[in-house]
Order: sequence, then C-alpha cells, then structure tokens
Amino acid sequence: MKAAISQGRSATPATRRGLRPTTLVAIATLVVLAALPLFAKSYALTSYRDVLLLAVFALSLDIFWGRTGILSFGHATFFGLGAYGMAVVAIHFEIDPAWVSLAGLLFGVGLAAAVATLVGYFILYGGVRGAYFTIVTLALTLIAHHVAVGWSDVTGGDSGLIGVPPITLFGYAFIGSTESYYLALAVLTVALFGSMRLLHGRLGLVLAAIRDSETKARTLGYRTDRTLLLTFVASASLAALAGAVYAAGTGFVAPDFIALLLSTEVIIWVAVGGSGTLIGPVIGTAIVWKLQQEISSISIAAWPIALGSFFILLVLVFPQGLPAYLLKKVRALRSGKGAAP
Amino acid sequence: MTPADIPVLALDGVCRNFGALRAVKDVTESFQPGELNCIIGPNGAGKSTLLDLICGTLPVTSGSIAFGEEAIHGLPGDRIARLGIARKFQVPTVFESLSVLENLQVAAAPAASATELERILGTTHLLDDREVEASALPHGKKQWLEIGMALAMQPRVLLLDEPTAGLSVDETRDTAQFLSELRGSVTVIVIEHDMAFVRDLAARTLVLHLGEVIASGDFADIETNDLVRDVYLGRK
Repeated sequence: MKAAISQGRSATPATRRGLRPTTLVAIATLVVLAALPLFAKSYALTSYRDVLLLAVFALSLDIFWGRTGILSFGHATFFGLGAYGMAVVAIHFEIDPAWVSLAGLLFGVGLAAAVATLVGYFILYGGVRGAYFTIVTLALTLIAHHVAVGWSDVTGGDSGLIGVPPITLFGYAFIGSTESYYLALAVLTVALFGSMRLLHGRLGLVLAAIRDSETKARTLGYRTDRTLLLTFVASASLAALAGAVYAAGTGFVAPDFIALLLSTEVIIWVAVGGSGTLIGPVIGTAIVWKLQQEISSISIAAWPIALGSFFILLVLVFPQGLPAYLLKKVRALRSGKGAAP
Repeated sequence: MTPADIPVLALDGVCRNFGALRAVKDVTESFQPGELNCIIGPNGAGKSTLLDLICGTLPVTSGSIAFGEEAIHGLPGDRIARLGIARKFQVPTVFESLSVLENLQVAAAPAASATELERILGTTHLLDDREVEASALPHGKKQWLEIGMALAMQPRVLLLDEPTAGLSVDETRDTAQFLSELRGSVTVIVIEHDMAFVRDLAARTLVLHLGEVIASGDFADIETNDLVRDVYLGRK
C-alpha cells in the first residue's frame, strides 16, 4: 500500500507539466463540441456559439494570468474594444459588404493591441506587478466603460450600436446558426491549439520562470519586461478577436461588453476551470454559464450574489483556482491515509 | 573557453549608498581572466552588495565598472547577463515550479545540447533528480542546482554568493574541487564565510570591511594580516 502510494508520487513529476492530460481533454472537448449541432436546436446553438466565444475570451486571460501569475482586471476592455471596433467599422463606414468583416476584425484587434501595447509598456516596463497591476488594469476597464457610455456619437452611448452584420469572409457569410457556431468553434480550436503549442514550448518555460522569480530570470539574461509585454499584447489581441466575432454574432454591442462585471466574470470562468491549464478556462466558462442559467431561472437576483460570494471564496480560500484547490485536498487526504499505519 | 576570450572585469572607485549608509566605499579592483577570487568579510561588509553592483541588480551610486572595453554599470541586469556574467544568489534562487532539468533548460541557450545539460547534471550531482520539482529539493541540492544554472549559461564570469552555506562537509569539499577545476576557463568571484573552504581554494582573496577593501592578496598572506585578524578572523 505504502509502496504503491510512493510510486504514485514519484510518477507525478514526469506528468507534472500535464501536457498530455490537458491536450487529451482539449481534443475530447473539441470533438464533443463539433458533434453538438447534430443534437442541439437552432436557438440553443446561437447560445452555445456565444459561450464558445466567451471561452476564447477566458482562454485569452489564461494565457496572461495563468502563465505569468499577474492578474489583469482589464480584459473586458480588450474584449470590448474588439466588439466596438467591429461595430463602429461596420456601422459608421461604408465599406464593401464583402470586406467589412475583415476590416472590422483588423480594426478591433488592432485597437486592442495598440491600447495593450501603450498601457502595458508603461506599467510593465515601469515595474508594476502583482496587485498594483490588477488595480491599474481595473481602472482601465472603468475608463473604457465611461468612454463607451459617454462618446455616444460613435459608440451609441448607453444603448450601444445595433446592426452589426454577420462575419463574411471571402464572399462567404456565416449567417445561419450552424455556420456561425462552427466559425466560433474554429476560432476556439485555432486559439486553443495555437496557445498550447506556444506555451508548452520554451516560451511557456520562460514565463513560468518569470512567474517564479523575475529577478532570477533577468540575471539569466531574459528581457522579462519585453516577454511580459508581448504576452500581454497577444492575450489582449485574442480577447479582442473573441469580442469582434461575438459582436458580429449577436448583431449588436452594448456597454456591458466593456464593463467591470465582464472583467470579473472572465476571472471566475478561468478560476473555476483552473488557471494555467488553457483548456480548463474553456470548460469553466461552460460550467459557469450553465450555472448562471439555472440560478437565474430561480431568481434573477440570486446570480450576482452567487457570483460575488464565489469571488470572495476565490480570493480567500482558493487563490490558485478551484481544480488546483480540489487536487490539493485530494492529495492531502491520500497522503494522510498513507501516513496512517 | 580560454582566458583570451574573457575580458578583464575592472571596478574603479565604485560606491553604493543606501540613504546615509555607505554600503560600498570606493572599491577599485580588477579581476583577471580565468582567475579564482574570494571575498571574505564580516556580515554587513558589503560583499553581496558588491556582487549586486557587478551584475546590475543594483545601480552604482558613483564609480565605474568595466568588462573589457565596455562600461557595464548602468546597463540593465539582463544585458549584463548576456555578456556572460552569471550570478548565484545568497539565498538559493531557483524556479520552484519547474523541474531540475527545466531549470537548466531555462538557464541554457535555446541551442544547448542535451549532452551539455547532462554533463552539468553530472557535475552538480543532480542526475537522479532531473524530473524532481525544484521546490521539493533539499537546501543543498538547490544550491547545486543554482550553480548548475549559472554553468548552463556558459558564463565568462561567475559570481557565487556563499555557495557552501548549508552544505555538508563532503558537499563543501566537492564545491571547492569543482571551483578549482574552473580555474583558467572562467573568472570566478566567490563570497564565503567558511575559512577552511577559502583556505582549500588558495585563491586571491579580498577582505571587505564596512564597504572598503582592507586587504587583498593570497589567502596565506591575508591570514597573517594583523588588521584582518582584528576585524574578522580573530586571533588564535
């Protein structure tokens, strides 16, 4: 019994990076998602499409937060910039319908990348880390929200902008619910495997090193500021891509897309699924979305209370995220048993 | 690497103040290519601060530090590291969530071969621990791992802050042995408190006291220096 346990322990380091298990879970998840339209009704499918895009958004936060350990409270800013960028280009400019989606995507993602570069440069090169980074990015979301509400000539103010056309790429319009669902799934698949490929390689190792000790990483010759900034900008760009495709799917944008509540929710999706795992946040998004449906159907007021309570638990009890917390409990339980004669 | 590839590391009038405290006072020293150097001195003498100044963790208050032709004071730490100046901290600093091998991979150049890393694992007695997460290593092995990481950088200058702290007698002897082997291929500056270890190394020795170099030369001469015995070594 003892031997079996200690053997199980010594096997942990080899699989500790969790490359294989998470990759397998990712493939399994995507296969299930690909088969989903065969069983779901058309209306439900548009909801699922939105969940997939929110999952891309959660993934984008995980790329930064999960790998660097630095929490951004400003990711709704980038999601919102993507969505608003798409909407503004589509509604305020008269662009050939065949190209308007591409222009909107480029503008939205470019805008978010520019803001992330500018803000990220000053705070990351200025040595702002940890809780201070979180606070600065929180302020960023508040500012962005005020701009979205206040600059009504461009953003439509409180009511937002309606009439964002569906994504049209190279003459093909993703209008139907099935088509747009598969488009969202394609975005998720590419984003997921792209980030896995990058982060399971040397970059992931360097980011983990920076998370453990940035000073040490610097004395090894790494330009840690630059690595963190590039990761932040990549993460913001992916958030914007999710936002732009989301806006094209729903057909409108509203100040909710660029608000503190969304910044908070995305943190919870990542925390529920397990930060740093990439596939975890995707699953976390779906779980929380389902919970939201169930709890809101009992009482609309119950959801924000549940969300807030969970957030407090997150900070106080399991700052590493729910799966890491549960795993630790299970391990403690097992080693507790192992120690008993 | 031969000494010809390594520039001289020269400090000229280096000072560092922390508020009113003058931690390092007017240090002028040069470290020859491939030479093994020890820095000794009581706690608070400014030994670690001096290494911090060389590797760019702290900026100098005044004075200059040159690596060959290049002035390196004021350069960011990562830039200095890329010139080939590696540092082992006093408190073992390794990447806790990475395995031993991954720690070495991060430290080494991306092109470093597996055999090269294997050789370093051998030198640092970590062959059996390669898959172990660094946080699970005992103190002594963390020390070795950090030395291994410094070696993986293929440094031209190696700065070691108390490499034998917390090591057993055997491990300390191994450390002295392998530092002696580096002689001629890497410029090494070691801070140490263990006098037996410093005597074993028989290296050029600097004595720091209240931020100043009060003596330098062969350890045998240092040991008999009256001033050094008064402030640090004590009299037998």
